[in-house]
Formats: sequence, structure tokens, C-alpha cells
Amino acid sequence: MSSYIGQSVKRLEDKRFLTGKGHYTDDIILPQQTYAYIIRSPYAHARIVKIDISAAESAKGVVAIFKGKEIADEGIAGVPCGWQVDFKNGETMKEPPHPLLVVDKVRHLGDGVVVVIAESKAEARDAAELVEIEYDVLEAVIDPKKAAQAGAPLVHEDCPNNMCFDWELGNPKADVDAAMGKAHHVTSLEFVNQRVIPNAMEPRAAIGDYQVATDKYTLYTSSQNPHLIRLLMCAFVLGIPEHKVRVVSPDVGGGFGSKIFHYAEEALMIWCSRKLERPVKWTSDRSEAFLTDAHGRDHVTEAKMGFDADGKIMALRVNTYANLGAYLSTFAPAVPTYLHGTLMQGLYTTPLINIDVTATFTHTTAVDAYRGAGRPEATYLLERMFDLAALEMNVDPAELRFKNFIPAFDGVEQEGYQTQVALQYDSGDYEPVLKRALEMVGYDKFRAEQAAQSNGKLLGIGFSTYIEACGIAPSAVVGALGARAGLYESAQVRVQPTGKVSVFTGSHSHGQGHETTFAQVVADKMGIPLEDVDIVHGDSDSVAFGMGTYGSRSLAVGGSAIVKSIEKVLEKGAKIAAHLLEANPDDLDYAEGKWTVKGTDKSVGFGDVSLTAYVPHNYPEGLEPGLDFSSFYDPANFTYPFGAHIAIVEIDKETGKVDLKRFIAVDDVGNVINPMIVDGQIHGGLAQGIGQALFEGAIYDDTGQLINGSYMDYCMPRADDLPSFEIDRTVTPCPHNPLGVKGAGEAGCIGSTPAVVNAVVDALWKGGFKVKDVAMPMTSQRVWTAMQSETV
Amino acid sequence: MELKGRESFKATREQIWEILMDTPTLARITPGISRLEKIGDNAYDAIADVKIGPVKASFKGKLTLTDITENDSFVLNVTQNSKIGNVAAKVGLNLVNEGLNQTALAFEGKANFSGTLAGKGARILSGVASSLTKQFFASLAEEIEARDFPEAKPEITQNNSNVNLHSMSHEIKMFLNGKEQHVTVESRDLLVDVLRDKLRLTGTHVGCDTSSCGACTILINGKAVKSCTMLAVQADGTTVQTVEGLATAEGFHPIQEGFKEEHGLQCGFCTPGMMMTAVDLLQRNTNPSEHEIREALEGNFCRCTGYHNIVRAVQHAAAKM
Ligand code: FES
Ligand code: FES
Repeated sequence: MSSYIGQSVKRLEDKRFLTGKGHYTDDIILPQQTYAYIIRSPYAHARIVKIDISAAESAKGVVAIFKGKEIADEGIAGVPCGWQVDFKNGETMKEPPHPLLVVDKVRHLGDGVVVVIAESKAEARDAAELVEIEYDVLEAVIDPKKAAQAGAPLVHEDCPNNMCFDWELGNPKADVDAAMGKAHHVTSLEFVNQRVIPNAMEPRAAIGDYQVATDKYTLYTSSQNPHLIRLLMCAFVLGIPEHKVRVVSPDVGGGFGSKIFHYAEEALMIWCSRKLERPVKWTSDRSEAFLTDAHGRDHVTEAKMGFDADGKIMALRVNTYANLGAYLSTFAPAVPTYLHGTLMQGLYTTPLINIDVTATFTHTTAVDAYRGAGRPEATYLLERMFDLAALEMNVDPAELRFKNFIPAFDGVEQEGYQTQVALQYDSGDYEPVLKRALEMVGYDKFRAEQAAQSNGKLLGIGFSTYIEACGIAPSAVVGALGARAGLYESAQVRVQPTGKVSVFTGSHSHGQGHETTFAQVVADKMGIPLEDVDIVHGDSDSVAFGMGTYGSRSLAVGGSAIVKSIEKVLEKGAKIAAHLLEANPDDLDYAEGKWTVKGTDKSVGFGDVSLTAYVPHNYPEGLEPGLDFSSFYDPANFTYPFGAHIAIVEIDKETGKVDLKRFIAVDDVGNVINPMIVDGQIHGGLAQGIGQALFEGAIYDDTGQLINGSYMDYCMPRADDLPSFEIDRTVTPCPHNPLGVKGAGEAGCIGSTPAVVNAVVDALWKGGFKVKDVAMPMTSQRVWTAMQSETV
Repeated sequence: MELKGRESFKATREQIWEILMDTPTLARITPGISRLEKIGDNAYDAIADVKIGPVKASFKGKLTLTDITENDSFVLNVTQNSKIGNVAAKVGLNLVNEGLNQTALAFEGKANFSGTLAGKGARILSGVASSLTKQFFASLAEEIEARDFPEAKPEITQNNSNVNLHSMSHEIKMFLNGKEQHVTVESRDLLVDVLRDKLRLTGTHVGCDTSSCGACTILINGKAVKSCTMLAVQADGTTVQTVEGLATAEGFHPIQEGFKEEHGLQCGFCTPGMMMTAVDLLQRNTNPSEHEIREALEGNFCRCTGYHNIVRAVQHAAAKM
């Protein structure tokens, strides 16, 4: 009987945040702590001619000043990449070093050059003003396609044409092209999926603390991924012994992908602390965050989709240039390939698909996973093409989707769906989500209203039916795809002698509410009160190992590891209970916190069994004392949430201003443990996806200056930019994990962006403007300009 | 009964002090006073006529001033007797510098009643007290206007190149979350840094360097202010409330309850600033519409919630307040 799973239990972690007692990295001040300020390049591409630190060295409060050379002289090359995607011809991916501080050349605006360490934040800054750096400015390249052209300035001398790798997936190009040639209608689209900046509200921070007396290192860092940071930093960057290093990610103020990666500043703080034998803290400014947090998206794409006379898709051909920025961030190569190319099947029966990706370096900030990572780009492509094809063929976009959906399969009775692009979907039932969304929107009524609209505004509706692959993932599969790590998760369930339960999970919560959701699972599975469960995460000294939180994997993978450990606890508990009850373990039932001999009222409670495990006086022979189990769970497959999103917009004809009137989202994320938290995840994802469609986008000029690198210039959605969302869900359980869950963290962000763009194009088209595309973000200026050039 | 109030006046502390120490003027501007006579150092005989509910009574007794710090503060002790009962009160008065030509008169204290008066009920008595206070403040403002004090001019300090303005330190005093707080700050210290690093109130966050995100929002003299936009020295003499001061011994403030009940927070980073902004809104508008809530919160970024549940949280609090 389940009393917590499925309930909107209020969050157990809230109290500390609501009373100002959260504990973020920048809140920590250690004894003897010093403060680091990193001097960063004001140019995108330049040779360093001279660095003069003499005036700064004698400034008040300065403890030390380090340059890249001192680090390089110790043989430290920089931070590594965690994923390898080789060239089509088998050549190894280009992997230029990513130094902690550069030695002779800066490669993007904000590249770290010098670190100044002082007794206070202000003194570090004052001294930094006195450092003189002379640069010889060089030409820069910003666009990923131009970067690959002959004669483009090189980011790294040993990467010809700025190529990191090229890659292809799916059916042979010849087959796809042949089918395209026979198509009744071909829809083509060239577009940019623009670069966005994650902007978690807590800027990154790191404190390195080396204690000479114990030869131990502690890194406090605002990360989604403490164990992986420890592994990468110890083994691949600094060469320090992993067992002497503790990494703590305390409360973390949002991540959205940008805090998965191992950043140079983390290793730099540990390196500096070892030099100084004092703690060193660095906290990013927002302006610095704009330049140094890994960015997201930035694809330049051409695509063609061929349909037969019935509106069935015959073929899809995609060509993408992916911008990786100046250096390879931890998971960067995976994003445009295995998280993007593999999603080209969408929810549709497309028989022939080919995708070709060229990944290039440019003089910009590194690009890596940002909420959705690759899957939003894939969804954007498919869903934009669908609405565009519907418009071109003059059919209803919803009807066109119904015609092409993969039929329902549950992954148990019916096999999973094998796509043309490597993945096998676990379970899916796609029609109901779109039907429900149409019902919520009142589709027929809307179209009538749209036709009657006459107030100087243009009404439009846009659709998106998406699938994503998350809960990443089976280690063997990702290993075959180039991951240099496994992607399992660990969990330890420690029953205390009094029957209270501490759970140590390798997943990391930075807003997702694991402390509540996981506790719900544990309390239900063990039949104990919620208050008796404590979830511990984010500290490598207490949690055995962890692969961290990203890719909507915490519940599907981390939660499953917890369930495995609970099973072990209950199995051993049954042996102890059987001994106490003088029965056979097989004759016992476990429910509501006690073991009962079947068909009798003889029972023993969980608390008594726990105590007996630690005070084993009357105890089964040969059984070890204690009740404490660890598990590692390696999933059998990815999970595949899906959904239907509908946007309704109104455009002011005079100004081109887009007003998002309604947003309807029906998502299927498998089983749901806490509906309130899942809804919250969807809301947040929607805001970010809508943000990309309407407001956000990094703007680099030709010299590589980020001209909107602050909140004064980079437009992120505010409370009055968004409507309240209308959301609902269907439930198609995941067949291959014990909780039947699929993951909800990214769904909102993956589905929403194309729905908004489709709605704008629909409004313009129905309003008589022959506009087939508007570039994101769809500012008033862009929409207005489109209206001027394309009037009927 | 607790007595508490605060009002700002266009005058310097010295000018207001002058009025408060001038017996005839004080007798004139204090409501109900029919006689005020100095009977010794800082002691007065007083007769006051006050209407309490339907009853009008004449009070007779003594006022004494203790703990006097010139131009700054004193404690007023009152014992008054009448046929409907006796009053004994002790009230601390404080002149708070709010800037050039701007001073607040703040008082805080306790009054005890005996006799029939005590049976009048706290609501009636505090109603009387607050209407008397209002009248007094209004007359004081008139008096200040009438006296037409010369305006104080900013002090011009010589620019001495040996003085490092950055490291000039000042001792400031705030009423922080209900308590008097002294702290030494540098001229250039931002209030948010002083709160976080010096006073270790780390619930107030820093999310940007352009005054755009609202993570640092606190209440100063009851109004929402971005504490990254204010120098610490500017907070001298003000009443400051941070997220740490929201909950009381009785439990959560309604806004905290709203955020919890409606899942208005995820990572929690924007939450303190968001709640302080919402409190400011709810003080001005007890029943805001969704549109008004969204407008009021537009200076605060949240990257986690999409604002949907934050709106619900504020509505929840509005219903409770
Ligand atoms: S820290 Fe962003 S507004 Fe103050
Ligand atoms: S809850 Fe994370 S920024 Fe608002």
C-alpha cells in the first residue's frame, strides 16, 4: 500500500531556504580564507605580449599572484573532456588543451589569464587593477560554419579548419536522397538554433582548501556533479590522490546543465590553496558567468523533409554545424551527436533518416549541455518542419502529426520501437497527449476565433509533439558511443539501530526536491514514516560515489539504485525477523513496517529488527550484524518521456510585439512520485524554452565581443512576460526501471520552443503575411521586419 | 500594551531636539495637555484631558526624562492618575538620522493600566494611543514647518590625497531584524556585502552585478530595496529587515507559508529576495490580481519556477494576511 508515492508532499528541504538558512558555496567562510580574483581576457583572440604584476604584488592585502606559466611548468595541461566522438574517417577527435590559465594566447572573451589572491575580495580586485597585460589582438571567428571554411582564423593551430570532428548517423545518404527525389512534397528549412546562456541564479563559486597537516584537500563547489569533478580533477588535471580529496556541493542555486562540467576554476582553487596552504575562494560575478559558464545550443542547420501524397513522411535529411566554442567542455561532443542526432526519429514513423554533423571550434565561450542538451535542438528542427510542411501543403498541423505517429507500444507486451537513428524507445502512446492538449485548448473554437479576429492583432497557434531520451543511461551503450565514464548511479541505505534511515545518493539536488521525492520512495517501500528518512547528497566523504544530476536521470537512475538497496535491506531484515518469529523467511509478509507470519497475527516491527541487527544477541547463525546496503544501478535503456505542447500568441500588427496568451502542455513522464514537484519542473522548463523562442540569445559581434553579456542586455523572461501555464499529463510507465519513471526535468524546455515559433508563423501566415520563418529570439523588431517584407 | 511608532520629519536631529526640550512648545503640540510645568531637572508636572471611548477623563501626574543623550535619545517615564484608573508608561524615544534634513522620530515602549481603565480592552486603548500619536506627529510637523529652520548643507571635506577613501571606516547603526546592530564598515562597502560577510546573514543573495536580479532584496524602513545597490553607510539609522527576520516565534510569515504550500521555490536562491518583494507588495495591496503580482515581481529573476507557482504563493499569502 502506498501512502506517499503519488502524493504532492510538501518539500522537506523548504524550511532552510525560506528562512535564509540555505547553505550555498559563497555563504561559506573558512578560517584563514583568502579571496581570488581572475583577470580575464578582454579580447576573443589575442597573443599575450607581456604581463606586468610588479605594482600589484606590493598592493595592500595581496597574498599571491599566479600566471598560466607557473601552472604549465608543473606539467598541468588543463581540464579534460569526458566524451570522445571520432571523425567519420576514423581519425581521433581533436582535443586541444584547456588550460586553467592561458600561457601565451587567449581564445575567447573571458579566457583566464592571471589570478590575484588577497586577504579580501576588495583587495584582490584593487590589486587586479594594477596588473598590466599587453595583448596583440588577432582576428576571430564566431560562426561555426564560417569557422570550417578555408582561410578562417584558427582557434588552435593543430586543428585544421577548426574541425573537432565530423559525424554521421542513420540510413545511407543515397537512400535518403533517392526517397526525397520521389517525394510528393519536400519542405526545406535553414535556421540557426541560437546560442543561449544558462544563467542559473546562483553564480558559480569554488573554495579550495588544502590542509598541510593532514595532506587533505577539500573543494567546495557549486556543482551538479561532485564525484565526477573529484575524479576528473584528481586523475586528469592535478594528479593528486583521489582518497585525499573531498568534494562538497552544498546547496546549489540551480544548474540547468551549466554546473555539470569540471571547470578550470575548481582545479585552480585547489592548486592555489596547495601553494598557499590557506583556503582560496572564488565567486563568479554575473558578468563573469556570462563569459565563463558553458553556453547552450548554437547550431546552424539545413534540413529537408519529404512527404508522400497522403502526408506520410518518406525521408529526413539534416546537416548541422555545431559550435563548440574555444575549448571542449566536459560533455560537449555528446550534445550535437548522441543527444541530438539520435532524436531525429521524433514521434514519427519516418523510414529513412540521415543526419550529418560538423563540430567546430570558434573564438567563443565553450558550449555544452544546457537543459535538454541536443534534444531541444532536434525537437525544434522536427517540429518547425512539421508545422511548416502543414502550412505548405495546406493541411492541419495536428492532423499531419496524427497521420505520422508511431503506434502505441508498452515495451512489455509489444517490443520497444527501433528507430532509424540507433535508439530503441522503451514505451510510448503518442496520440493521447495531443488529443488531450487539443481538448484543453478548445481547438475548433480557437480556429473560429482566429478567423474572426479583427482588433488589429494577429492570433496564432503552434504545436510541438516531442520525445526525449533521458535517464542516461546504460554504461555499455554510452561507452560504445564515446562516453569516457559509466552512467550508473549509486545509493546506500543505512538503517540506524533505532530504525531511522539515512540514504546516501549520488544524485545531486539543486532545486529538484530529491530530499522529498526520494524520501517518499524510501518511506513507502519500507513502510515507515517520512520523518524517519533523511536523504544525504552532495558530499564525496559521505556518499560512496555518484554520477550526478543531469539528463533528467536522478529518479530513473538514482531512485532505482535506492530501490535496489531497499530490497537488500528488506531481504536481510526478513532473515532477522524470521529468526525472532521462529518462522521461515519465505513465510513472512512485509507491510506497513512489519514482518508478519502469513495467516497469523504474529509479527515483528522494522524498529525491533533494526535494533536486533545492531545488538545481535538473539540472532540468526552465520548472519553478519548491521543493516546497511549499497547498490549501483546501471539502467537497461534510456527512458523516453514525450508530450504535446501548444502555444497561442497574439501579435500586435503595429509593433510586431508577440504576446504569449496561453501555453498548454501535456507531458508523459511515466509514473509520478510527487505531482507538485513534477509540475514545478515542467513550469520551469517551459519558461526556459519559451525564453529561447521569444527573448534570449547571445550576441557576439565579429570581433568576438559578447555584446549582451549582462542582465541589462541579455533578456531573460521575467514574471510579467509569461502567462500561467495550463498543464496536464498522461502516464505511460517506463517498463525497465523499478519505479516506472521516466524523468521530468527537461521536458518543458524541449517541447516548448518550437510551439511558440510555430504559433508566431501561424499568426503571420493566417494574417496574410507570407512569412515561413522568424529567427529566434522573435523580438518585436524581427517580427515587424518580417511583416514589412512579406506582405501578400 | 506595547507602544511603537516611527515618523520621518524634514529637519535635523538638533532641530527636533530643540523642540522636544522646549517646554511651552511641547505643551502646545501634545494633544490633550492642559498644563505642563517644569518641576526640576528633566521632571514635569502634567495635566492631560483624554477621551477614552465615551469617557472623558482628566489625568494628573508626573513626567520624567532619563537616559538622555543630547540630540539623540531619551527615555520618557509617565505616571498619571485619574478617577478612571492609572497609567504607568516607559517609552524610549530615538532621533534617527535619515539623511541631510531628514530625521525620524522613533519610539518604542510599554504602558500599563490599572483601575477601570484596565478593563477598557486593549483595542480601545491602543486606538486612543495611536490617534494621540498621530495628532502629536502632525503638530510636530507643523511646528517644524512654522519654525522654518535653515537647511543643513552637506559638509564638504577637503580632498586630501593621503586619505584612502576606500578604507575610511564608519560605525553605523541599524535596527536589524528587530535588534539594534552596530557595525563598522568601509565607505565603499555595499550593504549586501556587509549583511552577508560581516554580519553573516547569508540569506540575502547576490545574483548579479547590475541591480537587475533582485536576489538581494531586503526591506529598508519597510520598503523593498536591492541591497546591492546601496552603500552600507546609507543604511545608518534605518530599520532593516532581511529574510532571517521574517519568521516569528509563532512560526512562518504568511509569505513563507505561501511559498511552501504552493511550491514557490526550487533551488531557493531567488526565494529570499522574491519574498521580500512580495511582502512590500502585500503591504501596499492586500488583494493583488495575478497581473499586479507579476508586475510587482518583475524586478526579481527566478530561473527555476517559471514564476507560475510564485504567483500562487503570493496569492496564498494575500489570502492569509
Ligand atoms: S544582486 Fe542582483 S539585484 Fe542585487
Ligand atoms: S527557485 Fe531557483 S531561481 Fe528561483
